[in-house]
Amino acid sequence: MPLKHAIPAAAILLATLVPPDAGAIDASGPGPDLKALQQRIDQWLDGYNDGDVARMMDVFSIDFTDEIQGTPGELDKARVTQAFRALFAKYHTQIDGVTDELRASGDMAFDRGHYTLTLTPKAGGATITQQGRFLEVWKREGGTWRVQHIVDMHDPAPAP
Amino acid sequence: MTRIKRRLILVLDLGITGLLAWSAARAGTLTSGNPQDVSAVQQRIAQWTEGYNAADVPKLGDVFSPDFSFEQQGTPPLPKEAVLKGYTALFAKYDSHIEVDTRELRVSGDMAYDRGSYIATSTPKGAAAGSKPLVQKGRFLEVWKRSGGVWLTQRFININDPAE
Repeated sequence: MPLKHAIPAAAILLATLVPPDAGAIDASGPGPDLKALQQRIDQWLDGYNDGDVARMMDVFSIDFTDEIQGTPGELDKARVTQAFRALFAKYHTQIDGVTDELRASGDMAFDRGHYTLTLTPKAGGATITQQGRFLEVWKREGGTWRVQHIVDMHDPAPAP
Repeated sequence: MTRIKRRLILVLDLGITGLLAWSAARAGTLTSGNPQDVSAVQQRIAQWTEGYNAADVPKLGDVFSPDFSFEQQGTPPLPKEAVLKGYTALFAKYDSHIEVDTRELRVSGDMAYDRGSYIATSTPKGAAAGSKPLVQKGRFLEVWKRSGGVWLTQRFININDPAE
């Protein structure tokens, strides 16, 4: 798939980093670690809402990979960075996400959940809505939690 | 059987085939963590593979945690019971073979993950013997937990590449 077509999908995928709802999330692990992970998720969200790609990408490890249903292979951090820049240049975005599960042990963690993303073209045109689910794994390096790998599945598009 | 029903059964079969992605970590797999823990996870992977090759559903199912879930596009998350039923149906209909590339296996504390890609071939048997084998390629990420000293797969997410 040409990169120009893969870019929105990658950006949609990474928008799945959403703050866990403390009332609904299934969580386990040391409280301070879970709190630290939530802060990193918040950092990503704040960066996303501000269109601050550098702030967002700080959440990802150097060896970060992004795998998406329908896209062959995997995207590395550099390509994902490009994807976000392209996304923010073209769309106003909104995410409604649910982190269903967050667990940490040692220097490893994972979270999974689902999301609904709305992309409104800045130049006008139909709004794009995308739903999906994700699973991602985190590692702690130098005391900082970073997302190392994420797999995203877009739900099939609704019938017109 | 209607065409739609046959299609649904095929989708289920191929989805379960995605679980075949468990395979002993090969040379070249990127690993980190306590070597004893890495080895223990690899042994559990081998148990799953042996169970699969022997069509031994209890043996392979023993690798899954009670709260195991399997996710892929187009279906809701499947619990352990549904997945084991899927295996039973798969082994009744197909002779299967899988080639897996486990690219990465990491362990920390009581958690681990591995990820990679696979090519699964399901050859119809019984009344359908002689039909063209089904080939499914895909990628996966799975998370393990250690419970009572035993490593169990807790979460599995599968990406099916377009069927051939």
